[in-house]
Amino acid sequence: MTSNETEGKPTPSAKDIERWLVKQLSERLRVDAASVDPQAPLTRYGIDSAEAASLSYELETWLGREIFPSDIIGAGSIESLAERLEIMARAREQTEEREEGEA
Amino acid sequence: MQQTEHRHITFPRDPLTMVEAVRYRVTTRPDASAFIFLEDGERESANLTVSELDRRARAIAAFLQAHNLADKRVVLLFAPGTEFVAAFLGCLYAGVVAVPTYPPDPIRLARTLPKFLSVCRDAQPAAILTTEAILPFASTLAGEAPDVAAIPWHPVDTEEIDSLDGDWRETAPSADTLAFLQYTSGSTDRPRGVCVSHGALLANQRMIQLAFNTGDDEVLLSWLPFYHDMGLIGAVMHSQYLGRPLILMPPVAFLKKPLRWLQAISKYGATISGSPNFGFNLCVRKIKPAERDLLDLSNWRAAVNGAEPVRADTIDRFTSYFEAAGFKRKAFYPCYGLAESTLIVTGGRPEQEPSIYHVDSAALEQDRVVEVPADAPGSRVLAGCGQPFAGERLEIVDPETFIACPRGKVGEVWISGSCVSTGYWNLEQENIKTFKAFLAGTGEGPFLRSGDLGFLREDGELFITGRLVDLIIVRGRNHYPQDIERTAEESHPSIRPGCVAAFTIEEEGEDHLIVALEVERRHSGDRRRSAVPTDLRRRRKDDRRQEPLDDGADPLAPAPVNVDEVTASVRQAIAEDHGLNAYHIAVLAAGAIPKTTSGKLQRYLCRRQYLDDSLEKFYED
Repeated sequence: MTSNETEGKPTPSAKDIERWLVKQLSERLRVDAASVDPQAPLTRYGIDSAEAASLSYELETWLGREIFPSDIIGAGSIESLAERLEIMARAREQTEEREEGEA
Repeated sequence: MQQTEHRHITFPRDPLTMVEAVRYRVTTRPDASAFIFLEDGERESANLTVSELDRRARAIAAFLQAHNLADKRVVLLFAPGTEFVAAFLGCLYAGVVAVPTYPPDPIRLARTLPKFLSVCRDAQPAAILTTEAILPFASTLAGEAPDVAAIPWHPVDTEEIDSLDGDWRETAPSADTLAFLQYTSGSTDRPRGVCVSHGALLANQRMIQLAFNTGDDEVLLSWLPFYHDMGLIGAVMHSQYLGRPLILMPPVAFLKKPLRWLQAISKYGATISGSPNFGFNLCVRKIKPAERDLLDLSNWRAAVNGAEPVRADTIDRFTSYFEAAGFKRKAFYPCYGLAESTLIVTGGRPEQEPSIYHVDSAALEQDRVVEVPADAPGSRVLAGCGQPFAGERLEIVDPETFIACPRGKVGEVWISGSCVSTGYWNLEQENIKTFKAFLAGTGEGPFLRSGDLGFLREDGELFITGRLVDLIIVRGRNHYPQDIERTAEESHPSIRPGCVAAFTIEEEGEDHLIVALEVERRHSGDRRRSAVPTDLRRRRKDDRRQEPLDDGADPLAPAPVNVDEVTASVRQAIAEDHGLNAYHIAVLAAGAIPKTTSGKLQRYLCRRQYLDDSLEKFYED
């Protein structure tokens, strides 16, 4: 499902992902985006297991990697989560490039 | 009233146990589909016939017999999938007492492990069954929980076990033989495993058959977890009882994308599928009209709604949204049940509109039932949970005097009958109170005290109105306020020990968690003792606490309370430990939370004062 949707799109940077996460917080939980501290975990702003599941699905379709709700609930901070997700997305990009090279 | 055709399922003679019922299908329809697993919620990752599932169950049963585990308790530690179903059946086949557990989350082990360990320590199993993939987890426990690591762990997905199917020796458990322990209720400190006998398991299957009017053409579908009574008894066991296919997806596949549930119902033409109330709300919120328009829900006969309070407005919203996809309002099947009575206790007539009742909310607060028009001010709308089945008795009882209430009066729901458990594993004292209650005056009994409050309408329909015993039910899962309160208390040093109250309020058709807590300025060096003196707890507390830095201020001056920091720490800790969002955190002045003269927390009163806005708030200087 994910490879078609992500194909051809540049891999988002950790900053892009961080901005997206903050936007999600403000939209889903009516938190003022300006007051969100990227050093704090998402759970500080009211992300529970159901919201984490729904967020992980949207991240999956965006980044093309399987993401678990506990990746989100267990993340130390919004910033570190975004950095990890960027690394995961890059790993996918490299795998795809390798596969294309082999084909 | 429209008459529904009464369906039958056929057995050569009445089975005496579940094993007999399941094994009968092996002879009559060996090649029929028994179990389809959608690991990602969409694609089939396993598809087993009746005879293949039976063969795997026999192989595991033979292994258990070879290890002399009959009559002993065995913990089942599995991710959702085929192995769990085969292992659970294998335990029934071998007369082993299965103990399904809540699997700890490998990514958040430190936070999810305590529950698993507490179940293992309470059940004292002779072995733990798992998969090769999970097995390495056992060795990681050696330091933290050497007692649990030392229990023999056996993976069931090995070639060696798989070849044993011919060695199984048929056993004949009697009706009162223990079949499994159901640990859905109970806090981490006080786990409570409901003892379910072979007789109660089978009797409840008969009730479910009557309730949903299931026949030889059903297709069952579920995303509910195995360690939950509704998923295990209502879906896995009932499909086995009928010899009809079960399509299963993991809970997380549904939670990530709720459309998958209804898409699978549509694709497989599922007739029976259920969820706690929140699942129906989630579908309305997350599924777009264009996605809905591709669904065909016309075969869905029983949309079972249970495990948390059934909301009338959920029934309305779901029906009006999904009517366009062929969903019928009369498919909604609100019911009432609890693990202490195996699963189902009351249910409506199949394929009849759910029963909706409008009552005066002020009168209801005083335990009186007064019917009012739907649009009357202060009216509260309730959805009926149906009536008890043959062989069961249900009484509404005054929880103080134990005198049976007349119709139209709210009291505690008491239950007796063939599905009621003999009690919790190893909790003799509590069992006398909970499972051996007798009516005052007549001395009739014994009854199970459910802890739920409700009333019977004149026509015998049961309505549930609240909880007598403190229990927080969110998204169908039971949480104990004590567990949540302790998490909150440990999350920030400004919170006064023993001065946290957790309860729920209803808003917009859902229950929300409220945490009321007292704070005070704290003297430096005034660090509290940890209630749980393990390395595990201490580590997590240190991660979380944001101790003010030593900036050279007077070390003897009390540290001021930072309300924002307190609420953020509490919210984070509760989400991490329990997966719940604290909807509101009320930060209160010292002494604000009501307690009895002996110092016992009064959650019910605290909740009432919270709703009245009469709790004394804390203000920063």
